[in-house]
Amino acid sequence: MEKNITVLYVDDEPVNLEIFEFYMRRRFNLFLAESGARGLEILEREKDISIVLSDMKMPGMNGLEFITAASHKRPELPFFILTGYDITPQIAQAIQAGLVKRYYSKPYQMKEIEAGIREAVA
Amino acid sequence: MAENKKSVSRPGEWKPGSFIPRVSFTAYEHSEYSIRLKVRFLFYLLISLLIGVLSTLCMDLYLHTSSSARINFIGIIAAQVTLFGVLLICLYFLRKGRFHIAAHLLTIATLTTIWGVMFIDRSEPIMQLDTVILICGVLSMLPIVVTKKVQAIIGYILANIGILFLLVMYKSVTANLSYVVCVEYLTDSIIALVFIGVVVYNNFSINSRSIEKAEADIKEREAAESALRISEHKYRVLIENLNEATVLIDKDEVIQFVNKKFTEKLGYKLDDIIGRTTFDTFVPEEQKELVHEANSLRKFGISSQYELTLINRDGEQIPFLVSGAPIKDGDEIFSGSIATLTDITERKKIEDSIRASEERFRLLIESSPFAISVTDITGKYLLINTEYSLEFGFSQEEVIGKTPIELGMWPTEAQMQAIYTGLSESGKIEHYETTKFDKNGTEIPIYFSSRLVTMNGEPVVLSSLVNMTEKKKAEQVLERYRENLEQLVKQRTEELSEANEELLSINNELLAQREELQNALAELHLAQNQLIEAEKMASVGILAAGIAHEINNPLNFILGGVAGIEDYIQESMPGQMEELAPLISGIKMGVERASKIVTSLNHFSRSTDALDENCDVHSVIDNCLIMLENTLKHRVKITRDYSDVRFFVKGNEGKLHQAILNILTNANQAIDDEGTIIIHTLPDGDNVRIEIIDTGEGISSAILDKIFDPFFTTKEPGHGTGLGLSITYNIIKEHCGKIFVSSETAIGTRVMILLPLIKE
Repeated sequence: MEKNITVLYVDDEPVNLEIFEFYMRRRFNLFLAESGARGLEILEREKDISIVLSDMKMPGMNGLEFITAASHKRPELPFFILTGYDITPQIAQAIQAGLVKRYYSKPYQMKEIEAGIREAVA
Repeated sequence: MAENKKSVSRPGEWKPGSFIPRVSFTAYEHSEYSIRLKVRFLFYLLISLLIGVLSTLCMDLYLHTSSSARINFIGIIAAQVTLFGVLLICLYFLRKGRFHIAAHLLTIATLTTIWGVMFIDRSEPIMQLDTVILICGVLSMLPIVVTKKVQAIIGYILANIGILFLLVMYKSVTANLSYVVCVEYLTDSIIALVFIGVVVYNNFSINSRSIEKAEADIKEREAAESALRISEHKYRVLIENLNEATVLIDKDEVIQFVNKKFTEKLGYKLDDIIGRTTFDTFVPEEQKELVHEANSLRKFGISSQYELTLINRDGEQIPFLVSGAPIKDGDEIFSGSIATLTDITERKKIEDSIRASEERFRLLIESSPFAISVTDITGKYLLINTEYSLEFGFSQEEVIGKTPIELGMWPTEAQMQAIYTGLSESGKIEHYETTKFDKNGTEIPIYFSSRLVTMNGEPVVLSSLVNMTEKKKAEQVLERYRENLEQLVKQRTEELSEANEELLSINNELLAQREELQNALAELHLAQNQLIEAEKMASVGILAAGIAHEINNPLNFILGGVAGIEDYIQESMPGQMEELAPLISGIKMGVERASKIVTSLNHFSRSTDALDENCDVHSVIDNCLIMLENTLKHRVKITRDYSDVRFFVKGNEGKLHQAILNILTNANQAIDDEGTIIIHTLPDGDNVRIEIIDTGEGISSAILDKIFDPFFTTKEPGHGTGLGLSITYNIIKEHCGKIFVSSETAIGTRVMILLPLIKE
């Protein structure tokens, strides 16, 4: 198991965070945040982070706002968005603008996410 | 003995005051009255004689016993006994009803006895001959003895004269009578006997004639009385049954008799009326004088008729016609009057109605605003009304019996002839205009109508006419006005037609505007409804999106959790993996299916109006099918016959989704029980062709062209808005597509959609 990839996952649902952690902990280094603000703090602190995944709908700043803010700090990082909704025009726009690399609809396949992370970081 | 012979007396048989005591014999019950009187006389005579003879006999017997002076004692006794016996025989015959025998026997016996005594007597001649007086006395009884045969009287007289001759001849010998004495005696005696005979004869004949006369008189009277009775009965029946009430009053106006009709009519009982005067009962106060006057005239033999109102028992007044006549008694003296009373209630009514009718007729004729005349068929006036008089100046009296020509109303006969010919042909003349001259010779234009009618059985002409003088004048004035008016109208018409043209063009504009507005309104109405529908859909979309997010997170827990568990098992106990694989794949499948539904909801909810999305046709159809899966399951088989090529269409996915969903929903609902929906997709030039075919009940050709109309629905109220296909149609149109529907009842429906493909 290569642990050279460090993932930041932001989601307001703690269960999502736990399950993500359970599956991914043996594959990647993980940082988990319950809000965009927390995510930004972690991103500020941890310079090892190689990829950022964020839920779309969150209290406070939403996924896109967070990613926008995060991309200002670390523009080189790939950002994925995970959404309970279908693709929205904003997301489509963000994808087109290259801000968001990929988007996944919930419920997502862990394997797909894993593969996506590897592909994006590689 | 006498008591025994009496029959039972019958009361009333003998008239009171008869000088003979009341004794009767049954044998003479049916005999004549005179015979019965004679019987009575004879009976008492016989009783007297018997007593006389018996006393003489007793006296002789006493004398004989006390002295024996009488020589011829035996002879005398024998004669007396014989006489007594004869008298008894007479009595016997009398009682047996043989009056004649008894009477003659008594007479003959008496005469025989007297003659016998005269022959036997030996005393002084004067004593011997004077006994002839007794003969005369007996003979004077002849009118009683002889009842029928007058010759018997003559017989008796002649027989006694004969015996007298014999006696005289005998005595002249025995008593030495001189011839002169004998002749003298004979002459006197015969004269006496003849005189008695003549008297008796005459007496008898006078009596018989008187009786005959009396009997004849009686018969005649009886016949007269009988005739009178019949006559009286006849008249009584006649009067009783007379339909007129009849009353008989005496000269003091007291009611003697009224007939049945009278009591019926007036309701009084006989006791109420008879014996009272008419004034006491039924003649009203105010009419008493009238009745009294009429009754007074009767005394002078005057009959009369008059109308009288009487009061019946119920107090109602009934009009009568009274016909009264005086009655005279046998001595031609006024004794009262008889009157018949005819109820004239009906006649009065008729008279009143005739009077009213005449009144109406007169009123109608007189109050008519038209001049009216009635003429006979030769044109002679019978009647004109006041208006007619006023119009032509002739009075009613002046015109009656004259023709208009005689009156100078028409100068020539030709005019009148024409009218009367017309009348006799058609029975009427309508609206005839002519002129007539009035009394002053002024010509008056008239306008009239006539009718040939029958009045009192005679054909007459009824005409009504109007004086047209004023009208003619008015007409001339009118004519002038009319000409002016025509000019004016012409002028105004021209002005008006110009104005009218202007108005017309304005009107047309307004009409066009109105049409536009109406169309706009219709469009608005439709748009509003579509908006409502769209709003509804949008709301559903927002809701669906919310739900989707909330469901997707738990689904994510499950899917993530399973992925974790799977990962764990593979790592720590790979041997178990095979066994747990079905469970894990089941969980995954569940999550996948749930996720699909949520996704399809998401598709549906895309609410942007933009038509700039790249829509995957197959994905849209699939999403719709997922949404319908619940209702389709097991019942309807879905056959997807997709082209291998994926088709992309420029447009709004949410709207396309909605359009396809509507069609699929209809197809689904068209299938009652089990059926199939086949979905073809294939390229068709620059378009993609989507065919949705169901095996449902189909749409009848009658309504096939209406299915895209807004609000048209075959579903029950509350189950469909009737907007589904209309919205579908609009969506397809928005996407520059086309939609076609063909259907056959009980076979199914085929919907074909053409949508332009995105050009590469």
